[in-house]
Amino acid sequence: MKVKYFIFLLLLTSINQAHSQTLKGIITETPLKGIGDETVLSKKAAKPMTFSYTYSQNKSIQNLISIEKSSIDTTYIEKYGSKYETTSTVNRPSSITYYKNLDAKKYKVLFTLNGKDTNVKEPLPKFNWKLIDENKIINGYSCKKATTTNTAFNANQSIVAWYTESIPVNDGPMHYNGLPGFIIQIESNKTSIQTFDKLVFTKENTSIEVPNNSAPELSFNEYSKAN
Amino acid sequence: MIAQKKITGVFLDTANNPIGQVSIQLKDTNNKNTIAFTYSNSTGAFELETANTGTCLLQAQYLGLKTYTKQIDLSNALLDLGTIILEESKIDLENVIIKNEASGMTQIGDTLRYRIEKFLNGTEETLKDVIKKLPGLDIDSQGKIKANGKEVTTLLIDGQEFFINQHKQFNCFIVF
Repeated sequence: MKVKYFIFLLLLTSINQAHSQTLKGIITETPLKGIGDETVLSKKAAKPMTFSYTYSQNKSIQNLISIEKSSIDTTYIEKYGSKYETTSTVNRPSSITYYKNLDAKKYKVLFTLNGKDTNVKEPLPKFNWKLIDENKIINGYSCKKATTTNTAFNANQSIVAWYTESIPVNDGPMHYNGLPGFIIQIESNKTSIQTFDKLVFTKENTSIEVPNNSAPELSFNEYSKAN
Repeated sequence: MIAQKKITGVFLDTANNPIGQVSIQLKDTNNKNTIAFTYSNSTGAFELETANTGTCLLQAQYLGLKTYTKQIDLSNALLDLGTIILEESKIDLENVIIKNEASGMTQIGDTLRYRIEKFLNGTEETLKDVIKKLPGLDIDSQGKIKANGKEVTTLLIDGQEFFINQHKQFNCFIVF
């Protein structure tokens, strides 16, 4: 039986390209502090988000798998005999998808926030990485440091990336790419950290389709004007 | 203005298909630091520029394929490496990475403790299959368990004594 299976596999690989590989992983995003004046996160806002990740044939997709509902908490403060209402709102997307096609240099972000779908398509952002002579082991992977400034999507964030040469894959979390090895961790402006907790390799191809939702596909400029 | 040197080439697989996203790095021969890096495009072609001189190491990697390394002499303004064929790697990347994990074996006095989940892949049906996979342990045709050639007298599973000199009875024991 095993021999038959092996021959079948051999036939398959000779028909297809010889380099069938899939990389699957789990990414955890941990918010560190808030953006703007309110930098201390509430317990709800500080909850980490978990993503699934699949890479195959120079395409990758990252999907939110932990779902936290948006919430509004109302508390009353009593001062000088009168009650004051204070509310704390935490908006959490119920779905997030990041899609990259590295050969075609295409990137997509899709999300659902408070029941509304968004579907943005852009050329894959390029980064001017600076390699730093620093090493760190993250979840068993020997990583090297690199820094850049993220200016994609009107952002201006200083980014610290940790990549590993032991995985020769031009990819990483969200839109990050272009380092000489797989990006295991991204720290954005000291406000959040995305880390690969688990990675598994399989010797087969996984087909990754272009994701879509109910919203029309917009460029980031069109999306910004509409919102 | 420092004179830039250019290195070019095209990566193909053994079936002559172009390979995009090959990670190409130019490394210092001595300290192995990355001098320049790029990725091949969808036609398999790449272009690397550097102001460095002398010799350095060109390293090309792709998931599941053999790593290509070449000593490069940066004395010419343009160096075309032509077509480079990357063969399938026989080494599983998984195995390369596992080296950073704990080995799954601890020795306390004369007892060797195995964390068997580190050694099994789910295809094992009997205790015999399990023992065969544990490093240093073996089971002979008579069902005698041996550790580095010496007969084992006591086997503990989850710290409980499993048997004493009664190996044969347990060969067909279903673990899962």
